[in-house]
Amino acid sequence: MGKKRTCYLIILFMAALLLGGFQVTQAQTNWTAMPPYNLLWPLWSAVQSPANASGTPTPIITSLTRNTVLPVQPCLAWDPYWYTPGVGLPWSMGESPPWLFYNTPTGLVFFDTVYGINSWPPAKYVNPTTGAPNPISLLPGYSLLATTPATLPINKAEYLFSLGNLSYLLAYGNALGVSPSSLLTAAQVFGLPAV
Amino acid sequence: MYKERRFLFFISFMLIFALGLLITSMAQAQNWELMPPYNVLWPLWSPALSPKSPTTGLPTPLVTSLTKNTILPVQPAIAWDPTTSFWALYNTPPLFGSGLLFFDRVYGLNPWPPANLKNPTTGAPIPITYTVTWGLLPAPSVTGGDNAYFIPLANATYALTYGLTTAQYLSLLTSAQIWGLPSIVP
Repeated sequence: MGKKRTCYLIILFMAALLLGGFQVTQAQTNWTAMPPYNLLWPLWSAVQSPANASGTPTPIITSLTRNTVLPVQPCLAWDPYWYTPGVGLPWSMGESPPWLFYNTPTGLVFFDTVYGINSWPPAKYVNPTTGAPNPISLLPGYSLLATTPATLPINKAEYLFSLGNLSYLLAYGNALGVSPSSLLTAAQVFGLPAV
Repeated sequence: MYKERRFLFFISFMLIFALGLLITSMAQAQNWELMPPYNVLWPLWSPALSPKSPTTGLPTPLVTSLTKNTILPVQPAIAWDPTTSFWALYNTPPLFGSGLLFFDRVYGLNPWPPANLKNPTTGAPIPITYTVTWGLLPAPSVTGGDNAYFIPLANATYALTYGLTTAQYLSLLTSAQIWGLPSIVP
């Protein structure tokens, strides 16, 4: 009787541990690698990765190429190792600013505050001879990186979105008849409650 | 006697050579140029705003003065009053008259020059006076402080104020172009 009870307790304890561990893992998986360049896609954003039937956050696209069409825009994606030569200090892992992506009739464009709006992808992700993708080599632990890059005090998300949306409207959106109110705000991408 | 003379000549030669080296390195280290008539600082470190002269090989400002009638060959240009502000400069589009404009993150877009650089009675320039070696002041980091947002914000403000077309907006310099960073796209 006593042995049985002990066994039962051990099984219960193990199950609790497993369940707890699983939940921790789920809670910490903030990013998934998006082919073909392995850019990090935010699983923590409900608009970019809504929960599927089983409750798992699932990216709204399966790849991020020149021809990808985003169902909502802007979408945020991140290269945690990006280094721009000449920009003072090199970014260390997890500190580079994220990019914002928008649709245009000629393909996907991406915005950052230093380079403005440009056609996707950047030169360093493309093999100069073959044109084949040059994916980022992600280090273990990339999926657990914090949801907001450490440089956000400098590259504040609210400014990034406001400036990205303004730049897109001025460069393409107004001519294409894109409604400014259709563009996601930082609050919507970060899943903040309505104001 | 002859040896002493040779020694003196050698020492003089070395001194002149060292002085030449010092002057050259100082000229190379110079990051800013004084721009008349207000003595605001013009960035010699920006290849887009101070391209190298084909004759001297030295960075040379695109304009020789910054008055209200100056026309910028490229825009935005940037200028700095180290005691107060960092500005982005634009031309007023011909449809809206003419004249230089400056953007500052607190006051927005306004006609050049700022009031503090102009005598309120006569309108004559009040040039900035420097207590430091202005030429050697370091070039700002493209992402330092709020610099990352300054140019895109200034460009968007200018484009929205004057209803720029897509092509006109896309012709405005980005921070990467002003700072001379390598291209991001193939």
